[in-house]
Amino acid sequence: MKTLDDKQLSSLLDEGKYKEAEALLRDSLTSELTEEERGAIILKIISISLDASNQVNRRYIAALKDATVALKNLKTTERKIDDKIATDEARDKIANL
Amino acid sequence: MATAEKQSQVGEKQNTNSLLSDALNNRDFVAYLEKTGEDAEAINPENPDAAKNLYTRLKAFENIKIAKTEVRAFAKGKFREINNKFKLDDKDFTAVDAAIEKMAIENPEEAAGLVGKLREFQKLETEAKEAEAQFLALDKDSGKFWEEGIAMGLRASKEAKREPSGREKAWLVGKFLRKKNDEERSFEKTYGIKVEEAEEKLKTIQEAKDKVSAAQTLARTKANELGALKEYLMEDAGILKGLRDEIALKISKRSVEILEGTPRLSDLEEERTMRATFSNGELADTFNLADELSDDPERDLKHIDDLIEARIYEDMKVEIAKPWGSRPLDDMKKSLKTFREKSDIMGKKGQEAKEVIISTMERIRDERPAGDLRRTFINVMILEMRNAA
Repeated sequence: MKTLDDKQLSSLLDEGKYKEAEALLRDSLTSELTEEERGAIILKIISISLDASNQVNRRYIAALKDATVALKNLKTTERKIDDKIATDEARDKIANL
Repeated sequence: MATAEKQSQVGEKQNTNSLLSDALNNRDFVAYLEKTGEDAEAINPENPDAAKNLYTRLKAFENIKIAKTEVRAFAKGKFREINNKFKLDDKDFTAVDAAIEKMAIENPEEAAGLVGKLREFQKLETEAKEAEAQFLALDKDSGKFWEEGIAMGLRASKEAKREPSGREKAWLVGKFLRKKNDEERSFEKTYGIKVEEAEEKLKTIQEAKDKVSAAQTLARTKANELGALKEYLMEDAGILKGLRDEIALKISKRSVEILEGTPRLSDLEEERTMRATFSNGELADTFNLADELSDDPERDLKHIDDLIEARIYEDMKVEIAKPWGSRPLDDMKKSLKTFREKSDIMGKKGQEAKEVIISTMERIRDERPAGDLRRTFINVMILEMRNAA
């Protein structure tokens, strides 16, 4: 198996060059692997997946927190409007007495 | 020597002994040192930094044990949860375990980074669940729209004519988030104007004594505008979750593709390093002294001492070569207990008797092959015997 250049792979992933990174991975898999090489590659896949999952989760949590704040604000506004509606209804009733 | 200085040295010795005991009584760690062919001399306990270094490496080793367990949990859990094609068998995990161990030796920083990533993954998964629970608890309708959003997020990707690449996917998420932020800002702006307009209308309506109730106007505004916005927000968060799961699915699928593209290996014979075994010298059970006694008592005594010394050497060698149990250092200490506690041997007493035992232990140590951990264990015991003197 051709040696997998970890540094080059990490560098390509950091730069967002996913096609090149994939090509590099595939290139390293052109011949039969030893158990050791297979273990190293699976570990690399897991490590990259962890990175990706963590990045996605960080953004997801931040966006979800923003959405929670926005929904809370919306509910506050909703309560204010409910109060205003109640006041206006009372006013209407008084005006129509 | 000043009392404080003496106490400090005693404390240092006890600390060193404690660090060594912790490290050398951890069976897995000892087996790991043996497997990696660790040079016993490099962790010679007479080196003042050796105990600390060994202890630091024990902690690193324990981290690696955690990494092995958590990598399995990640591969069997998160990946399998979203894509049951990602299956690793025991042989794969054995290969991954070996890769983690190799990484720990060749690139400890990367190994520490892996543990950090695993810890962060668990932390973020918990945080995400908590954030989802908080969001869903805000409104009774949020669950319904949330589920619809998730379906939309997943559908958006499935309807695509071709699979988006990882880069495109990242761009899509970025675009989505930017769009979402823009729309939120726009919403706040729009909503502020709407409320003002509603209030303005209310005033006008009241002043003009319009027949239409101001309360009804506001109620309609609430139902039409606020309701839609709420739905949007709930759905929006759901879409986000759908996209997140979809991205995870893509990552997993890509991993499977890579693995499936990899040729299956023929079973390789596992090479295991066999530990050298030492056979007992099988000295005669009795010394047959009767036949060998001469007229020279001194020569006879010397002869007896030589035979005793040879017997001690052979017996001790057997004890030292015994396999370890759950606490390697303590196990070896127990095996050699009768020797270590001898205070009367070959006509020698006290410290002199101890020196005979120590010199025999040193002889056996020096005969052991380089890199043999038993050399280190013997060193530890010699050190303790000397310190106790």
